[in-house]
Amino acid sequence: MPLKNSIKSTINVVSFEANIAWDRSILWLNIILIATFSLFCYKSQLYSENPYSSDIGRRENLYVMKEAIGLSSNIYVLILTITCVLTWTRILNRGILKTLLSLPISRKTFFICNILNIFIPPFIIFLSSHIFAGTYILNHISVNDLLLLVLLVLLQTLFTVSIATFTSLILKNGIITLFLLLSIFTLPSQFPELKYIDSRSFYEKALTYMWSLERHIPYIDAIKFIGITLSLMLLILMLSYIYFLKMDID
Amino acid sequence: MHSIIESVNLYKNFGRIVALDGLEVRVPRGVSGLIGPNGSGKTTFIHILIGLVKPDRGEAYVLGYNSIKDSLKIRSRVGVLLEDERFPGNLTVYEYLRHVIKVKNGDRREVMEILKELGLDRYLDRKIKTLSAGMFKMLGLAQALIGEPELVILDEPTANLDPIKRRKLLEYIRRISKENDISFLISSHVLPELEEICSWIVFIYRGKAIDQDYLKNLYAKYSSNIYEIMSNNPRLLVEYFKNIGNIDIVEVRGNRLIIRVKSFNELSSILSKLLSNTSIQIYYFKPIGGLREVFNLAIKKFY
Repeated sequence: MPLKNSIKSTINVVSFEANIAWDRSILWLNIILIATFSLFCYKSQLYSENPYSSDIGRRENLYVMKEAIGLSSNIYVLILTITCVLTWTRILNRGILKTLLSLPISRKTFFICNILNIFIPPFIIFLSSHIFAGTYILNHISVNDLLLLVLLVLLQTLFTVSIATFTSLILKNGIITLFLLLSIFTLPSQFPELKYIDSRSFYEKALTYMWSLERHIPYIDAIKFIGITLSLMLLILMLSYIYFLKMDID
Repeated sequence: MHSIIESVNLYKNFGRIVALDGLEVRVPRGVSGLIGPNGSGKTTFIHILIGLVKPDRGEAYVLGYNSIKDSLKIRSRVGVLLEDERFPGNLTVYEYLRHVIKVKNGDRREVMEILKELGLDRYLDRKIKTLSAGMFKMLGLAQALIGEPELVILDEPTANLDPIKRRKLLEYIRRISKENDISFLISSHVLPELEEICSWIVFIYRGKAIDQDYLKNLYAKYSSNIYEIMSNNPRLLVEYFKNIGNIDIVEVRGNRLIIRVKSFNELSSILSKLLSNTSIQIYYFKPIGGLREVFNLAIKKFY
């Protein structure tokens, strides 16, 4: 019974927060931008790699898909960051957080629901665009490939959301946070030591190994990409959670 | 006395600003008022009660629950209207309240009655961002009353309301407090309003509770032998009273003085001497005893 109540209350709060954050226009803008960019990357890949796309086999299809996911991940990370920063700073600065937390909603539930609410729509749009492309453009996607893709996209999404959440909570200013995050996410392209947190490298290395596209990539390299992203994400998410629980909402 | 709100030695600083300085408050069941000037710590105290702000030291209890450990239990039994309450402007009143009903386990029929009483039923389809400041307050009040709360905390509930709506709101609070046995803690600057509906009053000044008691006891304690005197030269009058020494000057308002004396006989003998020995003219003097004067006297006595 307590579990049922807690699930019910979580669903209530998620739908409440979704209603506040996801204006219909913002949701449509998200769908159009992410889906268009994701699908556009397939088109460019198919023309540049192989003009006879319908004849290529599983291995080539996965290769095209990996390249397209890597390419489109840049715009995905950008949109996800903007969404996350705007959602947090809007509720913090406009005093809506104070109003919501004067209702019987615990800070723990609020934090979890807000994170869910921020990442679920872009995550679904990004993933479904790639599944659509895999199924209808490339004519191939197996359950195993799909599961790996879901896990990697989820990990990358949560990684981006965790950094954006932490920065938004600490700075509480939308514009400054956005500029800072954009510089954080462009750093890997300037410093090769930071390649592990670059979204494009992350997808390309991890998917290359997991879909066995190039055997020569060492196992340890793929693990490094996933491991570093995962541990950084957990650490930052935990820090944001503790900070949110302790902060004064005045 | 059984308290529904109690704070023990509460301290809270925001950087260098001292918001609460050892605040000790007790509030019984019924309608109670929280009085203090701007920056005295009323809003911080309310925020601590519902767990939005954590005190640096001390503890607060609401309906027997600790404000930090059991803040969720408190918020499920207490309705709150915050001073600068903000709502998501992109939702309609109906959409917003539908979520609040779900979160607070409210009853739709009961909510419709509340909305009717507050005049919000005609605005259900309106986007919240298009509501006037007064309707905004009403929406906050409706939110606070949803879910049959045992206690409702209202921070400046009549701000932005026109006199007719103020009167209606006060009457409504008085009625539901009696009919539904709901206790209220109201923080307000408009003292005559609190005087009308509150039975218990807490005076807060510079983060401390300088006095708290039933309204009638406070009157008995402070406001006996308080007079308002209007003269042609208040400055000279103040000096004259200061030289005599027996008169307590509470406040100077333009050419009117609020003073406290030991007895009416003493005042009349002082005034007759004053009129015969000085050029000061007294236009009138009358006894007064409003909450404002009581509050000023309480501050004077405390410091």
